[in-house]
Amino acid sequence: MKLRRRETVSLQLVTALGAAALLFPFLWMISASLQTLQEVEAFPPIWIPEVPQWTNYIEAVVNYNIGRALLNSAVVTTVSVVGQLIVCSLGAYAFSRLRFPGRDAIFLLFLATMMIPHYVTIIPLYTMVWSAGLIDTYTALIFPGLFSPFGTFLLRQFFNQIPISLDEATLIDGGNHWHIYLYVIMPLSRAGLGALGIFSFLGIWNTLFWPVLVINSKELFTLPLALAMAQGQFVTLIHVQMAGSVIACVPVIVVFLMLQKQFISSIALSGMKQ
Amino acid sequence: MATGQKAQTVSAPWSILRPKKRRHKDLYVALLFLAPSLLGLFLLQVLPIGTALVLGVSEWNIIDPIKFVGLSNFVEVATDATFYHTLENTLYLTVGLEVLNTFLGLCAALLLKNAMRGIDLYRTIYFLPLITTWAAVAIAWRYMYSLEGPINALLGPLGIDPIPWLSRPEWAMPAVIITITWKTLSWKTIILLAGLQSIPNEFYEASSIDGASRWQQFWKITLPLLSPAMFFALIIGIINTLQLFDPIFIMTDGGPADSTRTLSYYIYTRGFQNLRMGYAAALSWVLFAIILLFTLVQWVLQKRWVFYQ
Repeated sequence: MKLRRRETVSLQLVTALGAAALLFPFLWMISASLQTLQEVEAFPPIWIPEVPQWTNYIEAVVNYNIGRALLNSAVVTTVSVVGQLIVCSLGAYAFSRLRFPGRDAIFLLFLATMMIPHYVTIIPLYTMVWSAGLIDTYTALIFPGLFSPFGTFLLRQFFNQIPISLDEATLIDGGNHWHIYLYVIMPLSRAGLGALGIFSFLGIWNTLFWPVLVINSKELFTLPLALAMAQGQFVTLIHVQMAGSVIACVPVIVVFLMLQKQFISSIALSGMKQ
Repeated sequence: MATGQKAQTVSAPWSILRPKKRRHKDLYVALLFLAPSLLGLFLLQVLPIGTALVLGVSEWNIIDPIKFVGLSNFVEVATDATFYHTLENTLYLTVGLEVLNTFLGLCAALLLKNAMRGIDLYRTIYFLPLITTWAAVAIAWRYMYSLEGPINALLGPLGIDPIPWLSRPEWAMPAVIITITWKTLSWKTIILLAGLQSIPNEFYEASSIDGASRWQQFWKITLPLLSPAMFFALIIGIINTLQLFDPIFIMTDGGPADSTRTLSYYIYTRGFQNLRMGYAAALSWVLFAIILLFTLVQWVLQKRWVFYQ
């Protein structure tokens, strides 16, 4: 469809208006994080702080546990994402490249578990963690992120697109399945690994429900949990809380900007939502 | 044949090429590759699902010994007034969210499919809410909704009196719906955008030669050809909505007066605030049944409105 010039201008205007509306909460968050307590409680609201209060960020990190929580989130997310990529890619390799009895039945079982809502499994998982004495440990935070039926499925779809002749070439050169996995499949699946990587990164970094259940002590709070709990304790310190919120959002925005293409094409492909 | 002989001489590692012969050949390698996944599947899916079945017919506060109670949990669900109330709230949330998200998501997709200046920046901005941490943005929204907060301040000049967004039962759900729309809208947009981009341009060219207006093109070409994407987005969108936790936990905790307590949040309340693991497990099976039933009904109904090329 060819658009006339006036149409182009009005389209651009509407798109910009929509972008402004979607950005507004972020802008308010940043503005509030730089205000004094008096400014943030003023009515009518002050949109731009007179003197940016960068000390709010220091206060959030040092006095309100955000620094420790940032560290915890970074450790938990890194270990989970790397672990999930390894576990899922190994499993996906077996489903894509190996022949063994019951393969399709097992794969179907993987798919079937994706239909069960999170709420069905999370109650028993909690009771398992409780019985194993793992409440309030990094293990409890990390182990549910190490495996994902969806991740196995997604990577298998990517692996299936790689021509089998490359495997044959490796075999002729005297390689085995481990070589094919490491030197053929993995390097050629960067897009798929990137897509699963960003899904699991966002999912684990942002998750609140599971930490709410299994973590009680402040030293183990992840960022979302620290933000949620700060809300109950320091209800008046909006400016410091908003500084914490900005700190939580920056890493996801950076990772998203790096892997935006994979993220969007994979949602369109699979309909997955973090 | 020469090639056949060659293949025979190096036949040992060629299991991939000969799927029918010696199917078990890769079994041990497969077990090694699959071991971590199978362990994960067992610990995170099979064992919990099995336990959930047992919990559903038990009474357990996690401290005292577990007690088998038969189907009494499900009988209690059937007569639980709060359960029906949360079901109504869930319906309100789901319908409100789907209507807003589908309409606005379609508008956004129609805007973002055009090649205009700065389109990459616009797309990034539209997708930002989707990726950011729920806990962080829900707290911001909570303050934005306060009586003297920025949203009421923006509405003031339009002649709208301050709205008690999160403190009144009749306003809390609309407020929650607006926030979730802001957060999840672009997920719809991504799927609908992919649908729009797969519609061949010739359809529009041919119809405009025949004198069709933009409006007619939208109703006769775009919407019918977009219906498979809309169907897909509807199913997955509702399944996701039925399992929302974060915004309700942060913004309302199910209140005021249970007005935002959805079925999934009720499961959390019963299980982890009242420590009734058995009853919560029974409720979670009811949620599963609702999702299954809904998906089946949609599958049957799709013949009436989904148009496959």
